[in-house]
Amino acid sequence: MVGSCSLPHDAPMAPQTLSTQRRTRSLSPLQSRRAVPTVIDDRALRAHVLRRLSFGARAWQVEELEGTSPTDLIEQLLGAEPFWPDDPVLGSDDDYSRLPAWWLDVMSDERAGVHDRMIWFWHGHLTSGLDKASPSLMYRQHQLLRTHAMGNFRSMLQEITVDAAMLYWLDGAGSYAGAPNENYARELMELFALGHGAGYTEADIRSAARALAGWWVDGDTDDEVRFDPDSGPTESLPFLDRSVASASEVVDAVCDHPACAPFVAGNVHEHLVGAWPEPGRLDELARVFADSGLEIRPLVEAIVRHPSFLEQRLNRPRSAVEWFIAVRRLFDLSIDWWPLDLLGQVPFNPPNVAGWSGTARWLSVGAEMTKAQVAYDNAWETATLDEGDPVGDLLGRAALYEVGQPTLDVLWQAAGAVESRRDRSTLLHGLLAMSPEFSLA
Amino acid sequence: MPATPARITRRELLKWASAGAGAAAVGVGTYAAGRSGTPSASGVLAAASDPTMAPASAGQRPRSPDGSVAVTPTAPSPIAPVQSPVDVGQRLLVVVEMAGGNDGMSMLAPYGQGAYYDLRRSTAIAATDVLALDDEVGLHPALTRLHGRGAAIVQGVGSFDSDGSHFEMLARWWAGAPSAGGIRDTGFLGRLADVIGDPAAPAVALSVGSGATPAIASRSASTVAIPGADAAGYLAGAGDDDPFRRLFQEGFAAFGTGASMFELEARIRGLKTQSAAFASVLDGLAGEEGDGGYPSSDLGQGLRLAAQLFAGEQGVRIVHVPMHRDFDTHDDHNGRYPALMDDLDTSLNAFLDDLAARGLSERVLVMTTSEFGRTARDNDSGGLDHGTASNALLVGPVNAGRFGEHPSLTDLDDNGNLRATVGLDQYYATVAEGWFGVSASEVLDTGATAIPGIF
Repeated sequence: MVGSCSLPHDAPMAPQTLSTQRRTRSLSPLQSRRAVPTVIDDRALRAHVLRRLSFGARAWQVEELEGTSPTDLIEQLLGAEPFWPDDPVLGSDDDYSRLPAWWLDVMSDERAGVHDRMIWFWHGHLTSGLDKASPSLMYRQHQLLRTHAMGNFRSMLQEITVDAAMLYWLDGAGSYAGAPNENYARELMELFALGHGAGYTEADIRSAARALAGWWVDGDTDDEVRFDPDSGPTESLPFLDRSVASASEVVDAVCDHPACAPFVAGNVHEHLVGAWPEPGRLDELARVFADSGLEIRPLVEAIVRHPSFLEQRLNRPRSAVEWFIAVRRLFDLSIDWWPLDLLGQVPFNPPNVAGWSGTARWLSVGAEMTKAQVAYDNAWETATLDEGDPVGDLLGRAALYEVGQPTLDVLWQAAGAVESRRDRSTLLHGLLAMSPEFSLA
Repeated sequence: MPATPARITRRELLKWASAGAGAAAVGVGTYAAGRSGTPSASGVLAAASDPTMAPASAGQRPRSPDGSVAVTPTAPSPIAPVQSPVDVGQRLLVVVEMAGGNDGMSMLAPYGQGAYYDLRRSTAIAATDVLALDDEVGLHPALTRLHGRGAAIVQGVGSFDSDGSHFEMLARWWAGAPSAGGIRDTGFLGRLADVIGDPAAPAVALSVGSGATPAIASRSASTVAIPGADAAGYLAGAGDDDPFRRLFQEGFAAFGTGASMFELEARIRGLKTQSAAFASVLDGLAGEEGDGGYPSSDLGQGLRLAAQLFAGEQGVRIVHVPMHRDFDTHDDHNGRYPALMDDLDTSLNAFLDDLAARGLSERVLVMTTSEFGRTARDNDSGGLDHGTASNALLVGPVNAGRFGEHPSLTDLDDNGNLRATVGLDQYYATVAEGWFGVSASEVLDTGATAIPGIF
């Protein structure tokens, strides 16, 4: 049980929550007013839970939940009704700007919780993108993910295999069994369901490609997906030690493959916990997932109810979208999403079929420059901070409860270097957005 | 039959998305300004610059007396050897990455073999259209300037146990490990930077892309990934006349100092320091008016930045430029591929002109990479699926001509794909030894040796 005073052994050493250890400096009388707890308290844990199971913590949420233990908060979030946002207004089909903006607003909504978190995960896992599918088809796919995000993996995979956006994205549309396009067949196994090196062969890919052929998107009837028997498979094909003659049988064979449950379970764990599970833990989770018939909810519950979920804090960088939403929230501004293009994470437009895999991509010099531009240019309209304790006020607004001494020193130094209260607020907001602690998920 | 929607490429999408943002750049531009409009369908490429270039620079230069190049050129070559007179310590490298899987047989078409036309029923280039190098092969028709300038073409580059996955093969190329299970913790270019770079340089290797690519992951040298130079002014360069921005920059730099309590924090602090240092290099580049003859593509802009950084002599020795284009031509190959080659030809041409104007021609080598070629036979979507071996280009102070052996079009592997004739590690060894005078064993663990005759 993670209580208010226990810092688990294998968790990354979180920095102390400041104040009493601050070195005495003569910079400003402002400093002496700062007073916050020195232990990892439930607020830090609640903020962690909200960061991982929704799209970030708000200060008022963390405060309002006073008395709610982190584990109770996890249960609250798991039990919450899914959020069904209003449809986006898409505009014309060549207007690519609205859909990413719409999703960012949905993610920023306080009703967006675990269900929305998992929609975002599946988008990065079962990828399609605006560079090959129209906004309306991408939204149709989004609704598919929204329907299945906490439901059944097999059903979701069956449907997305013949989803119009996916048929365009991975070239299934118009593939002809006589000389099929192999793109979807390969990625279905490598990236969506089994993992590279899971034991399938090039011959399996060729068979699957033929069995998956025949589907197309009818532009004359509102992009209805149709099957053309003349282009489809004409015989049963050997695939993963069985025989298949349709897309549906290919997906079933993939879902029944022993590599499927561990591969998917490991990926969900990595997303929520920030690290691939240890082998023993992966076996447990794969069993939960497989025994439930590939139901996603029991898998998510098993992941987040485990002590490791609360222990593994501050162990991965914020992705660009997570950082961006956090800045918009801290600045209380609806900043236009274009910087996300430079940061490499536009919702509905993953960079490639592997989505935004790994976390190293979020730590680059280029990203620092773009983030500095966002932080500097938008800090002018932020809240004016408390006169006596601007740093404490700022950290509270950011729902940051684990901040190290070096960062506090930088913020206090900056606070003391500016005369006007407004300029001080601007500078502190801009700098906090660039601090190491603000970069962590 | 299936209807295909009008394709808006990612590039066009993003061009449109960021229209104007680049110009807002340094200072206090704002992202929040509303933007509207529709994607520009007009080509990404600017007008071609003068196609009447002289071919690759004088072949009559004397061989460098220090001769630290480890390989003796012995292979037959159609053109007399060209030796850069520049000391290896002054040499620079640009790597053009064609992620997605570049079809080697479209870049260099084996038009002299009937088997090419048997395999490529819908995607072959007509013999009358190729830019012939000899009676067997010719360059893609869009590579006119390159054809005039000359290049060393390394044929059949790949892995001897290739894999069909983009990600597996990109990882192998980035790492310089031709087979599964090779080195993965650093990139070939990162290790090269470790050997040739100044340890104090703000960046020895640079990747002009939005993410931290494993290609430049190093052990010790500073290697940096940026999308462009535009935003450097936020992190460096504020003077006395801009005290507020200076406080922001000082605060940012200060985040790089101080004790870290855990590994990720230390990494992030290191990144702050590195970002501030490299931003000040970029901020110091002289602003240059106009487009300099470069197209607006990622490749064109990346090459332009490379030329500026090389001229600035701040320690950058290697620039990695991902083209960010759609080489993954599973369908409509012939509709999509010419734009890729046009971008390559136009961008390289502008770059080589620019290098000449800056007096850098003899110091810069350009090499191309791609994770794999495409299937020997085309599919019924008029496209090509994931294949194996491809061809690669070396441009600059090289002996123009063909090197390595073109893969057989009749003796295909069990999956009906081309058999590689040159390992990707051998291709890398050629550049390490032939261009930088770095023994291949310092940067590769496969025992690969250089292909002779190229330098």
